[in-house]
Amino acid sequence: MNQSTFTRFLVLMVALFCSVAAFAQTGKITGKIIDEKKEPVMGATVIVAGTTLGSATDMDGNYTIEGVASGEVRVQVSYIGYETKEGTVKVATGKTATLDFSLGENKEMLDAVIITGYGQTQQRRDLTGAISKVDSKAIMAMPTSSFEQSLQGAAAGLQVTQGSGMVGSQSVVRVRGNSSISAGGDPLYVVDGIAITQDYFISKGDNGNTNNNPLSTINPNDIESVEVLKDAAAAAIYGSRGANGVIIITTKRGKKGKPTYNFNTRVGYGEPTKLLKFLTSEEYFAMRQRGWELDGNVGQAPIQPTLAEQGYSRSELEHMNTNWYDEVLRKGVKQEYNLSMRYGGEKLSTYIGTSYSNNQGYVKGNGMERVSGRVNVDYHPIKNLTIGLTTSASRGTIEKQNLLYGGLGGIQWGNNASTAVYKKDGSLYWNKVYGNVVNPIARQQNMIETSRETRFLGGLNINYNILENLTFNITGNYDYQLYGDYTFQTKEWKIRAEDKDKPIDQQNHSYVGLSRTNNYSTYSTLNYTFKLPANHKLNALVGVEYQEATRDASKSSYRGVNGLVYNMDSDTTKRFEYEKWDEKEHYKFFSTFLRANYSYKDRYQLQVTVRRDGSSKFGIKRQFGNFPSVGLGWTLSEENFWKPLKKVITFAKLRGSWGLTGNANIDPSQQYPGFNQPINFGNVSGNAYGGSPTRDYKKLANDQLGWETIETYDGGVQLGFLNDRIVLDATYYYKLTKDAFLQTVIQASTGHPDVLYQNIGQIENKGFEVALTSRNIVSKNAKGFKWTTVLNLGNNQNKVLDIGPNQPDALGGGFGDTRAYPGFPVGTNFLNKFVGIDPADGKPIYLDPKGNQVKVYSPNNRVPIGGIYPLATGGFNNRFDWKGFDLDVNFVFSYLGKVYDDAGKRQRYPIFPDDLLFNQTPEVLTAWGGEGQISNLPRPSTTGGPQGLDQIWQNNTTMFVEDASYLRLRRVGFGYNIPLKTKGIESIRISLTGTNLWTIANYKGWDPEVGRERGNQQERNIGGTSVSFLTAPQERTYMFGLDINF
Amino acid sequence: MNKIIILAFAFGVLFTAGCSENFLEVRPKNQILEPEFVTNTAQLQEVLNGAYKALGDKNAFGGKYQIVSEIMSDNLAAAQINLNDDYKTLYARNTNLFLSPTRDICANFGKAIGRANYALEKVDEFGGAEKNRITGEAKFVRAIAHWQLIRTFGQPWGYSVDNSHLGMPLHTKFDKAPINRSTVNECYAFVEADLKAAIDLLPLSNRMYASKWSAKGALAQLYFQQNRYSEARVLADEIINSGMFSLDVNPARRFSDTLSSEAIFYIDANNNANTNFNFNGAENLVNSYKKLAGGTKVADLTLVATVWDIFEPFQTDLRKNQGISKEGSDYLCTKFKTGTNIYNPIIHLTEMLLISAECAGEAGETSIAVDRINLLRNRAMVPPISASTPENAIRAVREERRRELFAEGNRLQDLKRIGAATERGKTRAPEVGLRIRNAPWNCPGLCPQIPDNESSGVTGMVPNPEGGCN
Repeated sequence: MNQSTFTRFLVLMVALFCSVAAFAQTGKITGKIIDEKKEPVMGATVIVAGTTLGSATDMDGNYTIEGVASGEVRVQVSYIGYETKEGTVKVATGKTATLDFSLGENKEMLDAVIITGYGQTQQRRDLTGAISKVDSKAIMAMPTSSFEQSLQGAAAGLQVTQGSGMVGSQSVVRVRGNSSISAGGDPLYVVDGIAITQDYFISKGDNGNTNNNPLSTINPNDIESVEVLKDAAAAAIYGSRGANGVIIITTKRGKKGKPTYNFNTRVGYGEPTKLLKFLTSEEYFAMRQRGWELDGNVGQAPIQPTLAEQGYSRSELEHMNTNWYDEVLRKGVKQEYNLSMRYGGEKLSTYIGTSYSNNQGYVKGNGMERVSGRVNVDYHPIKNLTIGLTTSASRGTIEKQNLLYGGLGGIQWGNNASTAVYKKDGSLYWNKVYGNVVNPIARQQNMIETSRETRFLGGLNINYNILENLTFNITGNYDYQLYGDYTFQTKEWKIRAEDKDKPIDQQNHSYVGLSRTNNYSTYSTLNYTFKLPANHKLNALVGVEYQEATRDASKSSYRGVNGLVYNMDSDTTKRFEYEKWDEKEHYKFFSTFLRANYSYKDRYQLQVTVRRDGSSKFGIKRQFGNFPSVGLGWTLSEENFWKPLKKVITFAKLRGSWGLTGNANIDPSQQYPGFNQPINFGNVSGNAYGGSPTRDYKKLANDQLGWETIETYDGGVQLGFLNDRIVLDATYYYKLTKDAFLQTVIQASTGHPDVLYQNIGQIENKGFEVALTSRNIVSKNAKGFKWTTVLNLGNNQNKVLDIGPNQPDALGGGFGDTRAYPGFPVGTNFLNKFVGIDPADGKPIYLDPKGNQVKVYSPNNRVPIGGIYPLATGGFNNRFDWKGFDLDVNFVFSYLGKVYDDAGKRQRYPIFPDDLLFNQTPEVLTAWGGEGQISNLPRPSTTGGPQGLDQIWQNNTTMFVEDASYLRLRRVGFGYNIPLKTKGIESIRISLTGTNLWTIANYKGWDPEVGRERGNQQERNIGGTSVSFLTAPQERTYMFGLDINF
Repeated sequence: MNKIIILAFAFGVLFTAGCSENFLEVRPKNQILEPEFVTNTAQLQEVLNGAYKALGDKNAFGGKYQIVSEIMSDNLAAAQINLNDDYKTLYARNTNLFLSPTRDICANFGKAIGRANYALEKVDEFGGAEKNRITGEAKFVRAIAHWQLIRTFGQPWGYSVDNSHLGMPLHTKFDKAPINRSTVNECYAFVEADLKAAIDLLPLSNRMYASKWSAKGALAQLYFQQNRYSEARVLADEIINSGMFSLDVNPARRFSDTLSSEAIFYIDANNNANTNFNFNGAENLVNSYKKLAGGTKVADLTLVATVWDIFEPFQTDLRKNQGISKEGSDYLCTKFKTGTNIYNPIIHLTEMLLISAECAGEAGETSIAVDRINLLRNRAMVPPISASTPENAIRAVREERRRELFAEGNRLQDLKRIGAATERGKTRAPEVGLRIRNAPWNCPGLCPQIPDNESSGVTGMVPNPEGGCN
């Protein structure tokens, strides 16, 4: 469908709405809906079953439905968070029948209301698409610094890999596997209708810096629910941005009733889940001596220059045994306070929440502080009109420690047990490895690295019921993000770490790098429920949306200051470099969409979605794309033939969908060619030769560049056993990325820019998901014993099918030789196959691609090693309730994945060169020691040569590929609701929560759950979760919680 | 009311959907887009200027090219201690596709080629009165950039009888499409044609840019490498006799912050106080050979004792006294004056004299050969030599060549040239069984592997064989 036909279609739809006029006759039903506490329920949906008649309850919980055909009718009531109820009433012509309902809180899994986007909801039983829901309880149960971490194991098919145990690290979130290579692979996050700015690389994660986490300023306490849209039927409404899945976050709003207040706090501490054991000084010296002698040298091995520099004698060094863990680790104290109010009056309902948290990491000098506030208001001035205002403001400040050279990284990279914080003469030891200071204490004393993000998310929403079955909605949203990286370096740092020799540089310095994003969007929808004969239900939503976002950046540097500079204009006399605010990114989206849901006799469901997206991100020749999807559902249990089974299998449904969605997570200017600006003398340096300006090609153009198209097939079965005591959802899917966005390497000698982006790849993902909820023991008594089990299991098989003309090394993931290689999963390791150690000479034996044994490491002998992704990931949760006590035991697992320990080639390898003091594990003590000895490690050496290595860092072999399976006791929560008789306080709950208490894993390194910090989207996709490099282990926390409602 | 809202909505849909495509176009700021990139001669000149800049980058003629060449040959010492991993690998002549020095060389000579090709593409339209000069310069840059890649990554001329062994891709136009490797025969023909064209088009003098003499000098180098002695000699002699260039009084002045009078083509150095811009024409040479303050090493690169020894017995030799400094057991190369603005002659009179001398020897003109090198010896304040046979003269010239040009990136190609000439019977002074630091002159590892930035986007690019030198 081209643009104009689509427009005509939309207009036709609108016209259709205008002309619909169907008037029936006869009686009327009224009634009141109350909840368990006898409070009226406002906004509940009341419908006459089998018809399109319905209404919503008013402020007092009253409803009226007119024009109901006479006779006995069934009336259904539903409301978010409550069970759906049904009753029958006799309607007589011209009379008013009364039918009241008392709604219990939602207990029936299949009646859960699922948010499907653009203000629409569906009951779980009516879904045709694959959507998982995680409610606020599950999010709040997990003490995390960023809400996405609590989604781990909470939804089948949603894979959340936490970056590391460092506070402030970002998680890698993937819905149904990696379907991209060079384009972003993260899902779209929609917070209260806003497709939020989610740039993961404002702060690039290379060279040991921590990436920024764009989700960390969202206060988890404000979240009401999280929906994960997984297949095309569910996500096609988000068109060119739905392909990686959509995560819809809905925040809390006012609830009908008098004001209720909640105060909750959590305090506790965190520590590493694991500490690796390292060589003692004695062991280290002995091993280096062995290496020295086996290299053919005689006498004592010389002391490495970096050790000698400390001024200690040999014997002092040999027995130094610095406990570096004591120097860099601590028990990180965590505290969090939330105060909120909910209120719902005649015309106004409100949620107000404020929060403060201070989350210290277990590495000294690492922590995050967050302050946030939210005001959500719904105003109901006249009967048909609701105005909703959503606002939140927050600020997160993260104290960083460099991941390679500071904290835990620093002690591994350049500090073994024979290095010390201070030299013999008492002065600070500026231990430098490859030019970087690696003494974590020297870094802490002389440098502060902080980032601060200020975030505002707000929206105004006007909802008008034009007719009882026609609603118009217009929404305007604004998302503002100001992110700053702030660095302070002392004079000492400049002199000692950076070797500055000019007096002007030998001063304290402070640097500010700012990035500011303004993201505006607006959409309008019309939602029409057709009035059709009994048994038919048809609802249609049409909408238009426009979004525009810009990102500006600015940088400045100061000298002669005494600490961090936050305000760029505060001290212009000390400012010596200034890059004024300038636009770095700017894009627009314009979209129209339609979604229609049809059902017949509640047995057959059909959903059709079409979205048309145009964006400035796409090349001029491919600016608009259409994203259709179709979903079908068949509720077998409503059929007559099911009756014999109905006692056991109360509910059974088959569903299937097909659709096309897109991924537009690409750099907006990538389609345009770029050239270096000619030099502007006196301002910019570098772009001149011979005193004259130069003009160079910087970036190649591709006017065909666009979204990635992902075709998804999805089929599932949903079963409810024994009155939905056990609910099982099983889904199989197949996803094909048809035109993956790839970086193509341009031959260097052509003189063109290094890379060109093209839509030329193909990637396949397929797998199945199982979600099982079983209420093993239920009790009618609220205080009786209850036991519920939830299991989420996901399997995904990922395969790269095509990478265009690229050779394997063209698509890498940064370090560790991870690649995109046809026939293998995205991020496959590309390694020399390690066979073993030759007992005769202690040299490693590798296989070349033909299968011949060779004794020299060569990049030419690398072969792809598959199997990096786990066969299954998921979560397993058991909850027990009894007399106000509750116990929550949550496991997460990952089965049969692989992780490449990129630090292994130094940390677990017997090599002791002069210029590197890697902290090695005792595993190296088992290295080959002489002719005939069988060992898994080669002979120790002080150079790489005897081990067949010319470049000691080029040693990527299968020796370091390890099983990444783990089973982790992710959370144990124990709570008690104190029985209260007081009037003022409604409830008090105390709780104890422990996270990451216990892990079973074969992995020899720190933690099999890794997310290495990365510099760009491609590295995040290819090397994001399968390569570790000194990655700090996950954090174990113990928290005490207090929750008061009053 | 209701109808108004519906109409407004419908209108909104129509309006926004009906917008032209421009509505969704957001051009990146602060960036010139294609049509505006070059619109006049001055801008075309800026593109060409960019080509020279790439040529003179620290990762090309600014030093890396010469360093890689020297590392693989026999002038440098203590490589195991003072070099980083990548250089160590090149030193061992066990190369692979992941070496940053070879990537850098490819990328920068590649940029010079690309920018020159762009200038050639636009010169008809925007060259104006400067068309001939710009065409000549672009062809010159393209030719010498190609040649360094061909020499670095391919076996030398004469390696195979018909030179059908592989050189490098030849980029005849500005195009991003990858190209596979041409044979060395094709490569040399291409470079030769470009240089000949440049000679016709270039002016006699052209500041830091290529002149007619630059192109003649480059062609002399090319012919010399092909053992086309008489043709090389004609060109070298034209330059020597032109009167445009004269030997510096002091041989150590060639790489300094004042421009040498013998520079025929050089990488510019710029230290203009009015701009914030400096350019060090020999940045990498200066930094890699300079003495380091403190630390555990004397310099990144030091010379082998042999280089010191070839100056025996004349202690007065200026080339040694000013070019080598003995620090304990290390031999520092001091011929690249330290500083941030050092001129870097790529083609110079000294080399033309050496070419002319050796070619004279090959022509049997012993005395002329001897006269030529005695000019250089005289300048170096060492006594003249004599030779009884052309063969002796040639050997003397080759020794003088090393004394004059050590550390400047010539040695490896000189040895390969002699090895190939011996193999093909093209010299009066054959060096049978010539070895370069114990490796046969034609062993595979002396041609580094094609780096991944050159090969990984190309289907079917033939890699170099690796190793085989040790």
